[in-house]
Amino acid sequence: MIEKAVEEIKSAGVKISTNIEDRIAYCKDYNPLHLPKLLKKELPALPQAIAFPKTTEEVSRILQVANAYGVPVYVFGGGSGVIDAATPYDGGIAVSTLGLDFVDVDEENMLVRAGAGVVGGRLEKVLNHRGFTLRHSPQSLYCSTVGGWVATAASGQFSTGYGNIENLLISLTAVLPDGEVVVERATPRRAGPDLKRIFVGSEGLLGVVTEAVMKIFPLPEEFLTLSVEYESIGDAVRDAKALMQLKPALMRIFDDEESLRYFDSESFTLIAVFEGKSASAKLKEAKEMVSGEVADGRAEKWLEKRFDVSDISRIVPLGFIFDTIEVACFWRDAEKVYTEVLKAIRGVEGTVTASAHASHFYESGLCFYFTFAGLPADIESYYEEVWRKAVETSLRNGGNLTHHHGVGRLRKRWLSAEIGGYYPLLRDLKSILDRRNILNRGVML
Amino acid sequence: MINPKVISRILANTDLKTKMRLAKVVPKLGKADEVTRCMLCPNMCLYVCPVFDAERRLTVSPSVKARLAYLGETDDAIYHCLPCDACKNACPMDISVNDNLRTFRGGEVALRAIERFEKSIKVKIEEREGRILYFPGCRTFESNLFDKTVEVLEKLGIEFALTSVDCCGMPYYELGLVDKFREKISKLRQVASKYEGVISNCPHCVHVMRENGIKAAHILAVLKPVKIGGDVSYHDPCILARKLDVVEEPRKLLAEMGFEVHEPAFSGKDTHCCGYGGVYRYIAPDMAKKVAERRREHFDYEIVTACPSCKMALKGKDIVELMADAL
Ligand SMILES: Cc1cc2nc3c(=O)[nH]c(=O)nc-3n(C[C@H](O)[C@H](O)[C@H](O)COP(=O)(O)OP(=O)(O)OC[C@H]3O[C@@H](n4cnc5c(N)ncnc54)[C@H](O)[C@@H]3O)c2cc1C
Ligand code: SF4
Ligand code: SF4
Repeated sequence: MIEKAVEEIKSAGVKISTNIEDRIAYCKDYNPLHLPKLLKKELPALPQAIAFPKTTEEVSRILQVANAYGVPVYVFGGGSGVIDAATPYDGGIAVSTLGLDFVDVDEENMLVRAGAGVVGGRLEKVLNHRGFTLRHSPQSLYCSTVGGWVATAASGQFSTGYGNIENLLISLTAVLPDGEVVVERATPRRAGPDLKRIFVGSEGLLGVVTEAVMKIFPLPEEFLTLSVEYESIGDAVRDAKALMQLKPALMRIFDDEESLRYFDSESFTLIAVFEGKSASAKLKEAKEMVSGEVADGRAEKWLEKRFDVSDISRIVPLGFIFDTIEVACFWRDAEKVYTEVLKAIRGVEGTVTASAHASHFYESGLCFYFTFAGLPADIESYYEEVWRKAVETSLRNGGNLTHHHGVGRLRKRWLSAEIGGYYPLLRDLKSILDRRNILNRGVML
Repeated sequence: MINPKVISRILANTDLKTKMRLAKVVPKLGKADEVTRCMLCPNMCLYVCPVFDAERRLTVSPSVKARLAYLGETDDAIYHCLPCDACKNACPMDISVNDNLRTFRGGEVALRAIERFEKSIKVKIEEREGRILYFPGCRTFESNLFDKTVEVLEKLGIEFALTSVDCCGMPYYELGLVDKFREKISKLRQVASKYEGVISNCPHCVHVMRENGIKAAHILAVLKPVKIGGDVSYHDPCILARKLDVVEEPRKLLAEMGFEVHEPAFSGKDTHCCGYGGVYRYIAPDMAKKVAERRREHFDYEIVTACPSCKMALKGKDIVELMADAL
């Protein structure tokens, strides 16, 4: 079947490869459990072919052929997803969106139209050169794609001021699993239900995003920082809630353990960035509002290191497993979620470090981002236990399942608990749109 | 160095069995080799890699090339590299993917590429005597810069020698053809030892010479400003900016020549390879052209540079050429 599908895709003029090097390149996403396997020279999975479409029409053709032969298709952007979603366990065809790589800047309307395969860091460079910014800055900005952001409902470091990817989207073009192309008119607001939202966070389950129109912003003239230290997480969270009235562009709270790592201090640290014309007035007011001690320079220290994830490469070869768990909660539950989830992770035998920061804030609450590193006797059972305990503790204490990394295979067993009555609706949507279940089989549902 | 307070926290929070495992592995911290560390990275320099940007497949992305090398899959993708070190410049661990891959090269692809390279060389030199050696490098001929450079050097009154040695050995080095490289560089070293120093238009040649004990400088070091004026965009050749650390000098020279110098997206040490660096042109010629086309999109004014390969790729002008026209 796969051979016939490959031939047909090739004869339609779409580049498709069965070369082993290409197949190895598309054998996994960035779920941490894949890394110890690679170290042992084992491949987590292996697609049989990789298709490299350059246009929406080519994506459509690939999906039509895959449907005709019932061949599984896995969608790949940058492969930086951490939830074991893009990993092609059923083989089949991996569709690389990276060839969809055009960028059109519309300065007048402050928009950018970008192909799904455009890599974030490059898009930001191009925009900066013209005096603009997307202000969508996930830590994986340099290795993730526009399509991947939409598919995972990504969130960037400036989300507190500018919103998450769904808030930046103006319109989307996508290809449904049977090859049908859906395009909508780009307008500042639209009529009827906003159906493009079904692709936001659907992790390639319902279709392949091929292009997106997004808002852009002028590069801010002023960029001012605030750093404050506290004795407890509760004090920091209370100040963060108050500071939301001033709409900081970026805000974070680091717990004592992370403060130690970043700032060599065992207090809790809040940092905030104020941007734009009223930045100095906001900063002045913020300094008057906060109850903690101002501790200048910490925001700068973090900003400098914010894309550095090299610790992973240093500790994984020693047998460590390292991951992050991000959950959202209302203000009311913040302290409880923070304390209980950390306790749950630390309680698993094998844990070496567990810490947290709050990284995204809303009028109604925030996101806690837990980081753990373990050196267990058995990595897989340790990892499964940490995840189970952390998620169940979060759900029990008012936290949710995921803030921005997504569901994938890693969290799918808890999805119905999170979305309740929408879960059967999602299943129905999947079976209507993807009758032969070819797209991202095994992900989320 | 791990903060001692972090260590005491770890000791306080960790169970006994894990502490025992920790004691065993801690001495190995930081000992993993660069290929392993790079393979484990989520490709944090993906956005700056020009080869990836042109080819649009993860296979030739920095971290995946390290993965392929680690797994012993060394037939093809590991050759798809400009020795541009954009990865190293962006890497928090200071890792050069190209430096690491070189030892895995030397196979079929290398042999085919070197054949193409050798066929492309067209060097014609009339020998002359002088205190310093002018070593043009093969690309200076291909980009028609040789006669103009000779003219400029003569007009500036520089007493330079020319000999018929034609290759610094860089292509052999990059392709992992170690013996042939040694042969080339020793010949050049022997010739160069007769002079006070060597100058060249080509940043690649200068870098290879310096790395191999030859006193060499880029031609910019001997140029003097000639008034011209106008608006130009300066393209930093990647080897010149990153490996020879020459970033301010060409801008200063251009400013003294009366130019308003504009910066493209990706400039200074964060520059972007033109596509014609190293031997990528002899491995994936269409993709090398694509890198060049995409790089050209970053400029708003006429492109001026200081490297014969960049000049060709970007259809721009070399500073030497601007001078030759004005002198
Ligand atoms: C070091 C690091 C830091 C990170 N930081 C953040 C962060 O700050 N914020 C954040 O939100 N995430 C973060 N992530 C997670 C990850 O980068 C995001 O989920 C990102 O959006 C994934 O994009 P990608 O292009 O790499 O997608 P991939 O990993 O290739 O794919 C992710 C999922 O989306 C699907 N998909 C990809 N492209 C498309 C498409 N065009 N159409 C349909 N489905 C598609 C895939 O099938 C898969 O299910 C981080 C990851 C790493 C490794
Ligand atoms: S060179 Fe550095 S940043 Fe690039 S992939 Fe390797 S480790 Fe990551
Ligand atoms: S040397 Fe240049 S081409 Fe090679 S991996 Fe690094 S950035 Fe990419």
